[in-house]
Amino acid sequence: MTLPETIPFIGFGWDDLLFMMLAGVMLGAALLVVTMRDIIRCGLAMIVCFAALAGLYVLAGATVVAGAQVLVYIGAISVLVLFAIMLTQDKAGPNALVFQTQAFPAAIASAVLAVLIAITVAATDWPDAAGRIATPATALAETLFSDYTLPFEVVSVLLLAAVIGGVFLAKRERGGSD
Amino acid sequence: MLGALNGLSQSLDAYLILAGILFAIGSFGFLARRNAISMLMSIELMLNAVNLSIIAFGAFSTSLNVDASVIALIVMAAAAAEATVGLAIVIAIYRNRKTPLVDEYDAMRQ
Amino acid sequence: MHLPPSLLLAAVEAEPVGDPGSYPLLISLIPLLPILGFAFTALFGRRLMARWGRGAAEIVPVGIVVAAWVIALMVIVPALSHAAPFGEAGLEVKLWTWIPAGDFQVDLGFHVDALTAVLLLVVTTIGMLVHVYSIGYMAHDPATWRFFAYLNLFMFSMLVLVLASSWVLVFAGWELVGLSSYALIGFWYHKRSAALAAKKAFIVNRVGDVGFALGIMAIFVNTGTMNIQESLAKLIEAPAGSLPVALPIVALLVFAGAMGKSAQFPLHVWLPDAMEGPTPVSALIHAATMVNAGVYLVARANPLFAHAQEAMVLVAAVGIFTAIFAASIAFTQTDIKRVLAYSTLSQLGYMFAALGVGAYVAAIFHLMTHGFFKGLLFLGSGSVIHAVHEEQDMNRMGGLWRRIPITHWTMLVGTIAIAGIPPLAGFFSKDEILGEAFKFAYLEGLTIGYVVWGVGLLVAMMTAFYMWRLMGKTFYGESRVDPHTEPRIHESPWQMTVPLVLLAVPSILLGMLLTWGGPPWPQFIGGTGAITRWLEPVFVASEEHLYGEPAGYELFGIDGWLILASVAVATIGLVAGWILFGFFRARGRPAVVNRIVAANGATRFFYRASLNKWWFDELNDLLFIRIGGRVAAFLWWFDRTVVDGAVNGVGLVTRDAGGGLRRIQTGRVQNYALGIALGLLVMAGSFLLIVGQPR
Repeated sequence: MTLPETIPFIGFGWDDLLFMMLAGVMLGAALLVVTMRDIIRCGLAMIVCFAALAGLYVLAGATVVAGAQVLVYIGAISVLVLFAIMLTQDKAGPNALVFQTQAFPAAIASAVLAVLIAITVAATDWPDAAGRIATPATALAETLFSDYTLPFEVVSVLLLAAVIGGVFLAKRERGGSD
Repeated sequence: MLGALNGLSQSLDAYLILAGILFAIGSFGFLARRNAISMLMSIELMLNAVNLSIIAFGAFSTSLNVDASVIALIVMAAAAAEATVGLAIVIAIYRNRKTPLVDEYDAMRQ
Repeated sequence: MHLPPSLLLAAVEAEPVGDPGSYPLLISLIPLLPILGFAFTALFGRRLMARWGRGAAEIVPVGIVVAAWVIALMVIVPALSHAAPFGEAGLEVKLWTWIPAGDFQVDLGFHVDALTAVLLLVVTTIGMLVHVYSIGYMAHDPATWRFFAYLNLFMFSMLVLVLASSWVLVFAGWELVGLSSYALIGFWYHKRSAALAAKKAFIVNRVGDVGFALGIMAIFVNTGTMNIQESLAKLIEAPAGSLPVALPIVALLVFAGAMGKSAQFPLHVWLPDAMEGPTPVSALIHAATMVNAGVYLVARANPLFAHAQEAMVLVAAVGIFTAIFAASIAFTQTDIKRVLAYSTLSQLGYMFAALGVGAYVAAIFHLMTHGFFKGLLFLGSGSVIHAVHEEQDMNRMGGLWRRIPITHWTMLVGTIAIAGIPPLAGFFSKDEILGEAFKFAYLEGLTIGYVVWGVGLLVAMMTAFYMWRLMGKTFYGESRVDPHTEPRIHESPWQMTVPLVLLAVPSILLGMLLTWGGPPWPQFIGGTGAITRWLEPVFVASEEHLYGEPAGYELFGIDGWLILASVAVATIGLVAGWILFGFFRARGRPAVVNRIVAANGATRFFYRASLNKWWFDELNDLLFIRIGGRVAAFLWWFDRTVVDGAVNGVGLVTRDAGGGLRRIQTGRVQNYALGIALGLLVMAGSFLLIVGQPR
């Protein structure tokens, strides 16, 4: 049985529903990241946000990127962040102020920023926006390893440097950290 | 009324506005949180928003399709590297200052 | 014979009459020698005096002044007789260009004509005699070398002033004379009254000097040249109303300077106090030379004044007022030198009155004779003071005529001369002034001339009276000298008495000599008199401008009556003085004096007013010290609060602004990031709003 074009009683399509759900989860998780008191919980919310983002990537047709998102962001960076949180936790626990004194102006600034972006985007006449186009992995692989070989190699050197730097910086005093 | 939302996932504007809102949330977190790690998490959010907008452009444009994914991958790699080094720095400062709260780092203040 | 003013200009620019020969050198030597003497004595005097005694320190300054006198004579004689190369317009010697500043050119040079020569004669002669006198007078002072150094400096300054060819050099000499006067009045500087008097003299002079400086600037603005002869010619040639600064104003400014230096009312207050200086100083500076600088200035600028007749009236008025004002004060003073100081003020008033009515030759003539007999009187008074061992109060003198004969007889000569009794010098010059004043009033309709004549006559009577009072109290009657010093009264040494005699001679003869062949001699002698002949070219243009052809002289007409009037008043004053104050053995009548003074309210008031110098010093104190002091205090408050407040306020505002802005630098990255975000938003928003509007 094929699904109907649009969801009955509601009016928009299944894709749209999926989109809205993923978007809602993502934004909700993001808000939790920036507003929760307990940092560990913030980290976990970040993971949820990344997951929703991966879903959005799939919806947009970039499946390889979605996979990379899960692997890299959720699998590596979030774990790294959680480790760092655990290494830098105050003994006193999370009872200090969450926000700085400038939180209120920052909130206003962010809101204005969002509004600006929205207006700009809506006002622009984007060409070629007929519908979503999926990205086949083979095409991606071909382009990545032929046209973008140099950036690929540079990125690997960058990652090497980051690893070495990170290890060096986070060493114990005997090594001479700043 | 909800019928107006029909075709949302087919519109570039939706993705872009979504990315914009995520970016704004990230910037709020960056400007307003006291803990250094929270600031780094907010930076990750902002980077992800940028990634989303890149992918969105790629999804709605034939010529940019593949390149957008490549760029997104490279941005992801750069974000990972930056997160690594940033967290290492935060740990190092924490060892010295015994606090992860950035408004208590005032050695260079009058 | 009418000399148009353009001839004056032509004379300046014409070739010198004949070759100047060695005269420029001689003329330059006249001021050069005293300044060398000053330098030598200032540098070496103390050591010379310590090692070899007083004489070693004195020989150079005194010798130099004598040499200067000799050289001056060599210049004076041809200048007075208008011989080549002086001619009628005088010799201009330019040494070098002092200030070459584009439009403003000042040459350093000297100009010698007959007027200069007369002044030179007075200055060098009396200067020389005073130097010799000082050898004796300062014989007990420990700082004699300093005195002679200052005296030489003064001679230099006065000679520069008299010889100068440009206004700027005159002003330089003017100021230097003031400085030398300050140094000499305050010579005994450890005496507070002397230091104060020196300050007073300098400050009051300064007030006049402001006017003079402004006058010089006005002359430059009007004519563009600082050379005296050139600027005067240009001033009188310019059509009326075309000058940036009107001639009467220029004349009044120049006169203001003369008022300060020659102590005319209201700038007269410094001269009586200047008697704190040693007596030779009083004789030289305040009788014979420095105070004559003002008279010289006005005489030198006579074309300017002649074309600004409103200024001349003021000059005459101020002069004659000062004359009677000072004479009234001299009636009651008890210090012998103060009487002479007020007498000097009075006689200077005569000179200015003469200049004011246009009797230029008479004024200069009186300047000459006054220099000699007033110098004589001052030096004589110094001799008296020396004899009674530094006592200056006349009430404690008396009966000295037998004890100090030379001093007495020479002072008697001086007194008769100043009273104006013929045939001594004072009569000729004073009568000339009064006569000219009356004639200008009667024949030319110059009203102020009547005032000058009338008041002048009264002053002549007063002069005779108070001078005889001085003589009576000092020399005649019975001795009121302090019994301790009485036995030790002695005549002064030869260094002091010889100058007295040498000054008495011209006091007797000068008048007759200089007017021989001219008025007031009877017509059958003929000619115009030596002094008139000498000074005529200097003043003739102005006199023509004022009065046209001079009237003839009628001894048995109007002029005879005038002479009679002058002699009569002088005699009345003299006799009154004799009766009241004594003559030789005759004692005075102090009881009668006291009865006259106490007669009624008016006389008592006049006596007190005279004794208190008409309370003028108190008026000055009230005006300038008290009221001026309050104004100054207010201005100080204003300066502190408003001006400094504004300046400090700028600093405070800057500091507080900086302090405020400093707080942006929190050191926190997030604050900076917020700033960046806000800036970004503003830029993006404005871009959106302004640029992105659909057209």
